[in-house]
Amino acid sequence: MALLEIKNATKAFGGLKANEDVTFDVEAGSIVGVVGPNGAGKTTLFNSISRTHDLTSGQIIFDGKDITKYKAYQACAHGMGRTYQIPQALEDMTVLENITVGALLKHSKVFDAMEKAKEVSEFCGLTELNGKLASGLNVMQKKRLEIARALAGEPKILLLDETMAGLNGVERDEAIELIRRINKSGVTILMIEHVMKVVMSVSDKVVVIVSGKKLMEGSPEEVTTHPEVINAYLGGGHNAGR
Amino acid sequence: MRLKSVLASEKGFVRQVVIVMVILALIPAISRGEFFVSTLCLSVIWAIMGIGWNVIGGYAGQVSNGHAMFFAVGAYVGAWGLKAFHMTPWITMWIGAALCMLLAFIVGWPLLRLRGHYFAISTMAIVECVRIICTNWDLIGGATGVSFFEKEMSPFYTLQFQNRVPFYYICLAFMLAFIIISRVIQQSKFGYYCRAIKANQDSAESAGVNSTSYKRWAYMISAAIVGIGGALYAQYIQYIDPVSLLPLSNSMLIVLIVVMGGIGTIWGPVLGAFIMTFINQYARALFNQLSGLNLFIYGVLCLIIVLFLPKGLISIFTNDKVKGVFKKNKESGKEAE
Repeated sequence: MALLEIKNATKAFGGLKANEDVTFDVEAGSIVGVVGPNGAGKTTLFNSISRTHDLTSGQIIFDGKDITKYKAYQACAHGMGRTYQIPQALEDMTVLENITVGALLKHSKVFDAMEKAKEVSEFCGLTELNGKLASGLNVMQKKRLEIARALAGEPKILLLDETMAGLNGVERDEAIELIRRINKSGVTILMIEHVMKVVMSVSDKVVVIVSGKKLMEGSPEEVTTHPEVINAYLGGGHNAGR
Repeated sequence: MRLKSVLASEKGFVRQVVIVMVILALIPAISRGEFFVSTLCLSVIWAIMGIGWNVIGGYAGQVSNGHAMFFAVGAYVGAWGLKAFHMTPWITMWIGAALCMLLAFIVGWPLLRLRGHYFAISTMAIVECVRIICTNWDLIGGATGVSFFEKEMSPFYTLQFQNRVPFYYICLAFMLAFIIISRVIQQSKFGYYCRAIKANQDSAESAGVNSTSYKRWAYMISAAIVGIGGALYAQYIQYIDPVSLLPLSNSMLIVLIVVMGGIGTIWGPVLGAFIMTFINQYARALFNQLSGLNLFIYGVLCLIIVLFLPKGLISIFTNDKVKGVFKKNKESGKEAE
């Protein structure tokens, strides 16, 4: 059974339809990539799924529950973790405190939550930064911190919004490795990604969104060789696999 | 056993509490002058209100400019309880605190949906409404206020003392209790969630924080503490009216105390209250022939603090740069969080 089902999701801002009739499933345990050109409506879709804003119409079924009317914190409590494209760290708090806030969802005692946070911090390679204020981190570290905070809440699914943007090659490889490890630990991953190489190497399935509509879905190979995708997303004449 | 482990993990805090409390308890030994002790009492009462405001304003980051309304509710309940029903403030202050919580719940329902400056301005408007209601509501005394000096009963029953030293110690005990509550809040899940809301509400929500509910509870707890402060103030001053309780300057003074002392810290409100109250009272007494000059001095001092210690006076004890200068006084007490 699919862990997450998005059914005919439509989101309109006034007359502008940012998402129209988007439907796809995310199987439990898989990594699904969402790709599309700038302004295609990927982040809007993410915000609808994570319940940051309401859908105009359509339905989101998560882990057997209809969460279409949930608030963000309820969706989170139900097992949905997310990160933001522009990292939204809790700037006045230290790295460990940031992660502790996430961990408090499942551990109501601060001491236990902090132990969990230390564990997650190590898993994400942030241990050395534990005592540092989040406002002092660089972008890569902030993105890691967001992942760590989401993971600390022990989510069933993790929504990653452009985790790779702005990273160099080495950092990117580290990030890919982290995503693989998270997935291996049993967390389903739905990620928006611009870097084709990343999508190709980690995704089990890729969903292509163009102008707010789903163009197609399939394996990375199917998607990157599909002429319409190449045309819409990469511009004519490019080889997507490169 | 549990208490032991908590005390062990809170060693630093316990040490701070002991040092500060011993110092404050010994201060009346310096001078028992009426004006001096009165100023001390006022300082402690303002410290209690600062601690209360700090819960919503400091921890949860929602700047309320309308806390004078809870102050007034606490004061009115205490005053009328004694005047009309001969009830001791020891009981009525809790009724007042409960009423403050109820009021905060109702008022917070719409207001806490607003963010940032909008919340700040709307709380200002609400307290003005309360002032106008109190001024025109004859049942509770209207513009003439309530005078409720009781000579017949024991001062320990009415909390109205001729010699204010015992009252100072009673207030100090309340302050100690609220300091501990403040620390418990700071170190709990509630405190972490409040800080997360302060840092970034949207981000906090996607980490599973029900911001509406946590803000509401913070507002209610904050209101209750300020209500108790109001009840103590009423017995201290023995005459209350809307003009002295509910002007905007009272709401702002509560904010100012915390901001000057150190917002979001345990000891900031205490430090701020003592310094502000002493400056205010003594400036007023010294320059009584030049009306307004006390406020001028007060303003200049605030400006200096904001310019040079933007994190509040408490940062003298935490800031490493300043610490070097004050190294010798390191153990002098009010170390911050």
